[in-house]
Amino acid sequence: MTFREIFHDTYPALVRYARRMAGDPDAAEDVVQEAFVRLLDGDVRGESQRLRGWLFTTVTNLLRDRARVAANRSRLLAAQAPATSSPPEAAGEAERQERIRRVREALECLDERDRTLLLLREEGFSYRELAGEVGVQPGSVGTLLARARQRFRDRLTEETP
Amino acid sequence: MNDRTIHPSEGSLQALADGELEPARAADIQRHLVECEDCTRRLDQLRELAGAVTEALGHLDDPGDTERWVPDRAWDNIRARRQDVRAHPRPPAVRGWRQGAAAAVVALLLAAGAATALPWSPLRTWFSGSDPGEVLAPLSDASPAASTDGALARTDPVGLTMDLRDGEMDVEVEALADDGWIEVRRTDAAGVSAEAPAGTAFHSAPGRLRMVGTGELHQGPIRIALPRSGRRTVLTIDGQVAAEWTPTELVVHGVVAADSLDGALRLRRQP
Repeated sequence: MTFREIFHDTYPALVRYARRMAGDPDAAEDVVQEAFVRLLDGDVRGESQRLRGWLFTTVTNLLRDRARVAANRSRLLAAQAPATSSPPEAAGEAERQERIRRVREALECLDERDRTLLLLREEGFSYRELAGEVGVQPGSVGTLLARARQRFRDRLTEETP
Repeated sequence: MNDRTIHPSEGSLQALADGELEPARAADIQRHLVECEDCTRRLDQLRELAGAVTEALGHLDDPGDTERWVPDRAWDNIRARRQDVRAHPRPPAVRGWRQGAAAAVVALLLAAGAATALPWSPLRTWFSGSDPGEVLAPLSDASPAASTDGALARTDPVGLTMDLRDGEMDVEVEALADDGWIEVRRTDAAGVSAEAPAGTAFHSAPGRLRMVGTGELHQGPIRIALPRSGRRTVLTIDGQVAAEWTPTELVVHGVVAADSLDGALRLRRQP
């Protein structure tokens, strides 16, 4: 498989994964493209499946680094920011935004390992690949996934206070 | 079902629901499910749960994403970022590669400068019509034509000619034997021609020529003839850019070693 074919096969799934993980479409595309630049410029070789795993791992690491920087920045900004009000939204759009907010909140209540498991499974990773990604035994993946899914949905269906 | 029945763990049921169990273990559990309503109910719940999670996560995908995730556009961005990285090198992890590339380019420049001064030099032919001083100037960025991976495949020893697309051609070589090499000549022909050892599979479409070798030793060279009129040709070996040509420029990257042979440029993979 050529690099170009790997790119075309993997790019949409990587962006979807990064976007779900980060919640920011621009950041998602940016880190995915950064991962491909690193793949091209680094000495990464192997089967396409291995390269796919490498790309997802790199994207996860890049997102983690960004989240750390963003958290520091938002702490600083929060101390100085004046209160602002958003313009009113159409009812349908407001509903959609509320749904997204709830899903994101449910996702963020999971720890990083469970969130990664959940999102990578959605991208078709096998149990063996998932085990390699998060550093657990393949035999544990079913249990971890079942609990992560349950926790995610419990949080999603909780009544908003 | 009696009190001493051993029920499968939730993890096993989840693995069954996800299609991840070994066939023998899956068959064991299926037999158990025939008799156990509790486990059957739990399996149904796990399946329903997985579906609900997938649906919920789908809300995070913007409906405009289809428009947004255009790989060809992203590919252009990645190429531009690579150019930027080359212009401003910094990560130590890839420095060795770049130093290799720079060394190869410098070596080639010196060789070209010296060789083109000699009347019998094969590189005279190679670089004919261009000022040697311009030969290794930095490449300007240009996006490759989108490839339509038309699948014509041939497995016999072949020579193949393929037209450029918008003056551009991507030549991709895969599974080149460790002792194999690529000879590249420039000609006045309109298209790109290639010959490869027996067993090489060709996949081609306008603007794209892909050769997949057998990886076996002692297979001999791949010979490629590039038209001088081509606007841009990029040669990749196993997904890594090995060389790039424009009418007046040639850049050889560090993944290959280059020398001249009977008027052709010979490229071998770096050990």
